[in-house]
Amino acid sequence: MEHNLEQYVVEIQELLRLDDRDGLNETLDFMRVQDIAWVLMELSGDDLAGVFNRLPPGRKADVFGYLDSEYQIGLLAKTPRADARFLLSEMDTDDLTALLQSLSEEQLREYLRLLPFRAIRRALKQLHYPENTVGRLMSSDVIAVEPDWSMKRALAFIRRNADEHSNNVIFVVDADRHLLAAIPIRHFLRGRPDDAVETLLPLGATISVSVLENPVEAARMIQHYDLETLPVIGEDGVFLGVVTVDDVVDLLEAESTEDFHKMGSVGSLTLSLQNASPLLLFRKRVGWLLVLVAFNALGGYVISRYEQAIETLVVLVFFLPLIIASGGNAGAQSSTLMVRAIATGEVTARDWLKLWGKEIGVSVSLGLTMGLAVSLVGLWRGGLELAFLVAVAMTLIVAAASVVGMLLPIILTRFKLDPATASVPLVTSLADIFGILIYFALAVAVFNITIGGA
Amino acid sequence: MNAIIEESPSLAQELRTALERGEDDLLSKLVAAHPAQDIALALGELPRQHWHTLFERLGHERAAEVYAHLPTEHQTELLQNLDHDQASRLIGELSYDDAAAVLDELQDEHAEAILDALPEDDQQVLNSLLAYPEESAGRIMTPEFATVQPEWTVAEALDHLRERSEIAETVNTIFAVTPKGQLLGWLRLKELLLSRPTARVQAILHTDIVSIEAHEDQEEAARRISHYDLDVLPVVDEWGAILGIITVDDVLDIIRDETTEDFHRMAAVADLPLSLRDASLKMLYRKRIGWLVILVVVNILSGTAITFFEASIEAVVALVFFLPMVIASGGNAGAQASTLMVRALATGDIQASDWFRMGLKEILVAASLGVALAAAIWLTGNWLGTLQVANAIAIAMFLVVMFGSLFGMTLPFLLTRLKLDPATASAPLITSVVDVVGIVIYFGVATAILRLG
Repeated sequence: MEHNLEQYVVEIQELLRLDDRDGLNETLDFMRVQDIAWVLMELSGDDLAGVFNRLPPGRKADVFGYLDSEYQIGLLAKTPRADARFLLSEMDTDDLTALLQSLSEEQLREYLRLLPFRAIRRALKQLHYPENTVGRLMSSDVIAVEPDWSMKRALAFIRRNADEHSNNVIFVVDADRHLLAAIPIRHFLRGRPDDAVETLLPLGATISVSVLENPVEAARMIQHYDLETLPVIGEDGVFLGVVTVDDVVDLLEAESTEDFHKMGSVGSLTLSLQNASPLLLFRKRVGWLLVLVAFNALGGYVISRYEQAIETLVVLVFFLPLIIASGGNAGAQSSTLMVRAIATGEVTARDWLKLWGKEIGVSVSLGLTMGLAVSLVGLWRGGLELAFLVAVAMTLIVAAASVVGMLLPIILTRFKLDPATASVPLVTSLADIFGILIYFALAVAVFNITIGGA
Repeated sequence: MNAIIEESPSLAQELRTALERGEDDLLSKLVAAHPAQDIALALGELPRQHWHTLFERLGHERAAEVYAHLPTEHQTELLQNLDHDQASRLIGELSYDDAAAVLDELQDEHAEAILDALPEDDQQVLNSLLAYPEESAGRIMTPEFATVQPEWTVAEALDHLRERSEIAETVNTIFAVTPKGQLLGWLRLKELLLSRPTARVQAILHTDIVSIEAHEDQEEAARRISHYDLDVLPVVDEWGAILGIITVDDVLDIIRDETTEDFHRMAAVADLPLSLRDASLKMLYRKRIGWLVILVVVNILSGTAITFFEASIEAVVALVFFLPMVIASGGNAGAQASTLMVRALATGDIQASDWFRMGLKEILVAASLGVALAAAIWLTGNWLGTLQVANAIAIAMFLVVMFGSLFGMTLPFLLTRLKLDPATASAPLITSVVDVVGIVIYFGVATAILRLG
């Protein structure tokens, strides 16, 4: 079993160049649909359609579901209507919703017309849920049986309605379609044919999520409860569909990537880095950089107020980058620890007091260690007074920056903002300003420098 | 009724009240009404002295269920208060992969004593799991799975699975094997249910097997499961014989842990084995001080670089005002670039071989960013200084941003080439290196343009 996808790309390009149809078919037969989709997205537009059309109809639909929506739209435009109808009607409902919501109004109307009536109704209903809700993400291909059915009848019903899209869980609903339980298909295997489905019902409550809930919350529930499928319930308590674990894996990955980028003060990037144009990357990066320049200009302004101090004692400048950078580094550590702990749910905003106490302890110890280290350098560069100054400044600045780095994500959460906005560059820049202020104020005090005019 | 994670704090409160007042009925009711995962979460917020009482209330099976969902540090803590027999009973109720994870965290003598008290076959299985390297696929697999033979009929296979379904962790995906255990193919339980009872397993088997060798990294297992949308990934030995399975629910935990590790490394924090809430002050200090001290050394280089230009500073003190702006901007742009690369490498969006293409793109992006930032600082320069100073710092800004971006982009690739974790290219490391180089560029350019030499 070879997993090197790049090799597949090279191999398929070579087969296309040689126009070796049999070889190509053989290679494709051997590949999993996910790999075919991945390789297709690496090919040029014409090759993509060429290879795609060569797939047997059943696999076509599966591969189509794994393409990114931009490629799906591109392929649909090149596909005859009858084939497009087939592809769309074979898609999982959640994949179909994802595709439809990325279409323009006009395209949406055109493609909806290709779908069977029931599918149109279902698609419109799902698109009706607000963006960023479980409703957009759920799949309504579910099998539901009733509690008073016999096991035999339930199994016959499952056989009739199951297809490869349906999952490994069978749902039990009452006459009003209120969810009673989610039962793994294997339990039906164990039951006696004449027993009622009721006998399989577990004791505890069934875990479910509201259709209007944020998908990230659904992801967390699936992770927390080790579920394969999470039932989705409408506002009226009616069972609507499921969110599955494979959707959640993608969602959590996207969520972590967004957090990562925010921590690096990059705006949220909807495309992959591979496909993002330089212009897009510029736009996503320049905003924060300019904001931070403004912060740093403030730092520059503070320094300019201490011009005289610098002129009196140039050696002060020697320690400036050292001390403010150390504060920034410590602040970056504590903000990152907090942001990640909030994202995984291990820390909530209520824990702040306890964490704050601990952070003061940690940061003062860090500051003392580093202060001691630089004071030796201070002794060598400028004598006892300077050593004392840099040691005290270092301790204060490291402690202050750490506490700011730790509190900022919590404050942002309190104001319902994303804690990851407390990015490393933002914390570093804030620490710079505080650092410069503390450093020069201490220097003026220790060396009794008079600042003219200020 | 919907159980929602946010309710668990109040569950902790309720449990605490019930435990403190000794209300056994209420306690039993609470314990019965909540999923094991929620009880495990609530337990972490209860005072230690209540843990024992709560566990006694749970009953054997449920206690094991709750225990399996506790964080490792709580698991070990609880075990230390039990004698070996009690501990073995608890461990015996766990699934093998969970049991191996707990035993791994214990001190050797303690783990051995518990192992000794377990039934013979459990001992064998656990010892074989613990023999695989840490963070390998073999370590996290469970050896309880269902297999069928290709020449069986569907009815025979179903009968067999009916017997096995109590033991196997999942029978949603079933593997067909030779008598020696070599993997031949896989099929879904529902496909068996849908097929004619007299059909042969062979006829409905899928042969596109995705598997992983026991010695491979658990992260690779997670990647395969999520890429192929698998419920179950079979773990095999070097001859293709099936040893165990990894299920999709293990993957979410692996992904979360690996992502957290990356996050922490990006901020120059060493790997934290505990949750932030439970980590002690000393532990946090130890995990943070290492990189901070290394970076102090790098920063002392910045100071040294400045001393070379003391004459320039004394001539034009205004240069010092703009120094933090320029070097911080370079560091920020570098942090952005390295963050983008590290994450894209981790998700598989880009490969190490893409460095050249990414480099070209980064040059374009960095140059545009450099121009934008140079314009911004030129305006500030005119405000706080003179036109000549403004020109000098604008040019320095452009060069430093270029350097920072390219350095931040290259370092993760370089680390990958050297088989090191790209996330070691942390934002603080990038910022500190850019500081040193930035100072030299800044004063170099200023000295040349303002003719201070």
